[in-house]
Amino acid sequence: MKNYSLNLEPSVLLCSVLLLTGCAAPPPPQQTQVYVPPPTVVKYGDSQSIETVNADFGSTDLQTITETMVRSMLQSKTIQNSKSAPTVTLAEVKNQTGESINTRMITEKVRTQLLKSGQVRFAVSANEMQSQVDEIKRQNQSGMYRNDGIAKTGMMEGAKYRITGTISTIVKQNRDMKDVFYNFTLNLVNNETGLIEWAEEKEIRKTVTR
Amino acid sequence: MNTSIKVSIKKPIKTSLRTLGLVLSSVLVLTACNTSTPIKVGTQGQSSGYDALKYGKAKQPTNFDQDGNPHPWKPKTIAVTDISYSAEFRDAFYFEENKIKKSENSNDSKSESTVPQVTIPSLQNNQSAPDSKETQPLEKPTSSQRQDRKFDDKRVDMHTVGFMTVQDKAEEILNPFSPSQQLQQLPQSQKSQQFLQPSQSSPPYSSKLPDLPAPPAPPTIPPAALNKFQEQQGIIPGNAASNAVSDPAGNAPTVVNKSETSKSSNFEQSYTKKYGVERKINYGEIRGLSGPIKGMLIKAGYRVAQGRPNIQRTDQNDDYFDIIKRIKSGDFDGADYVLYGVLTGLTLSDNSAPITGTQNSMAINSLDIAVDFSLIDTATLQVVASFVATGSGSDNRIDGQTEGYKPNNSKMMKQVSASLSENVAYQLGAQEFFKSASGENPVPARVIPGTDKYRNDESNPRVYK
Repeated sequence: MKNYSLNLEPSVLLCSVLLLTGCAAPPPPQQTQVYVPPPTVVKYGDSQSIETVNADFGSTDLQTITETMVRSMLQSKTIQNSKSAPTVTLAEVKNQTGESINTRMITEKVRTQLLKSGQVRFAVSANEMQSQVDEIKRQNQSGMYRNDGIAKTGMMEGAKYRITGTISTIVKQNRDMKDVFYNFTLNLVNNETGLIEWAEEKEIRKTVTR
Repeated sequence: MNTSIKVSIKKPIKTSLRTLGLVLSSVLVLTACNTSTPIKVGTQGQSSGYDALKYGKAKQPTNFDQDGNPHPWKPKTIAVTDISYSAEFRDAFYFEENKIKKSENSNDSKSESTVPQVTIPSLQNNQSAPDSKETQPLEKPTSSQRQDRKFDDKRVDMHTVGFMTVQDKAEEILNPFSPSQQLQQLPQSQKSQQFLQPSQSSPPYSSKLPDLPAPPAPPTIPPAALNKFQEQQGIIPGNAASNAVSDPAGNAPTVVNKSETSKSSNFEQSYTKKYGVERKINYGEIRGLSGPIKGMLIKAGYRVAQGRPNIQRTDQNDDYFDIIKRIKSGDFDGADYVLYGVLTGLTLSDNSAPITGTQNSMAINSLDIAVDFSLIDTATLQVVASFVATGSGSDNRIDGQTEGYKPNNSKMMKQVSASLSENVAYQLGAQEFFKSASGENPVPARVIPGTDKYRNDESNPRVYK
């Protein structure tokens, strides 16, 4: 009886195994449900259009409040009777609602509108002081700048007035209806005398029915 | 009822009016063609170097009298003295002096660290002890010192009298045959004096300073006080100390245990006395603050004379501020007025404050002064104007305290003097000194050629090429 011996190298054996397994048919796909998101559509809308998604504070409320406040402030005697544009700074607007409202957005929008009118100048507010201090420190104390051109320390202009305010809500609801009443108040306070020179409020009522 | 008035002008009159108009127009044309400098009525609108916006138009000079005739202007001369100060402010301006004092203090503290000194309150009550001010380092004067300022200049004896160790004293006490044992029998006052004056018979520096008076007797240390001090130092236990001294007045002989002496041998006492003359300057003048005031007066059109310095004499009191005496003695010869200032308040603050809304802080270094000014007419000695002017300067630095910033004193002093002169100008204007009662007002300041003011001045000849 003849003995046939087959001497194979281990690497050749491994390659052949790999080839055989590679040519094997794939296992049948499992039956899983993959979420396919709906196709997204991006549209530009009218920023001034009325937004009624829900009863929360929205863009329409912001625009309404800003328009009312700016118009009223510019017509006030404090601004009208000033010989030069008075300096104003933004102070805190307290959020006394249950919602998370960025009150800074309201005051900054008011500030932008007032600045565009040219009748008011705005000083840097406390929230923006860090960048101001960093810049002054960089110019004065880094030793990198000419003395005649730098913004010197101690030359900032103090604001004559500050804008403060509150936003508060009264919410009432039953099974079929929800009523939200917003009250936004803005004050212009004389920093030197502490007198409130001007104040305005804006009321907004929003109802949601089922 | 309507009434109408009809005016009829006859022909000859019409002709004469026409002729008059022609003559007037020709005169006007001729005067317009005249190239000579036009006569200006008054100097309203001219720059006198005086800021009319700040101090009002009423202060502008007028060189014409009531009849419209030009007034011969004779500019007034103002002598400006340096700002005088008294003792309570002296340390604020003499930084070098402060440094010296600090170094003296530090030397004292060093000596104290090596040789602990005995400071017993009862010594100050002893009549034979020198004044406590002599032994104390120089310090900032207080209001009580101000009252006694005439005694500040005094002779101070500067030599070391002797050192004494408590161990020696204990040995002397324990050894009954030692010469110092005889001290036990003497009265307490004599005993202390003899004990603490080993070199009194031959003072080491007495030959060098023969003109000086005999130094005052050194302080005597009563045993009660000495034991009290040792008790405080922990050298002697409280009970032992109380046993050792039975009489608090120190009249009884001192009894010290042997164990106490071994403990007290580590203690060394010294008494240092100084010879020499120490002078504390109580009155002086701040140099370098009145420069901008002089400049302001020159700008306003006055002639300014420098006042002579006022140096404090020995044993001088508040008569240092006698400006009338100085005027009469001729310190301000040729001056019509003397602007005399006395420092009344000075605040040097150094603090750090956080900047709201940031993580930084501001190191605030500020200097504020208040000066009482009197403008005195040298002829009549009348006070023409009097006010208190303030000046302030600051050198602030962001995060200066954390960065170890040292304030710039020169910068602060410059700001102080500048703001002080501004305030002086304002006060003089408010009291209408610039529009003097005699009608003689300062001449307008000279307009420098080449400047815009000179170019825009119509009185200057213009050359057209």
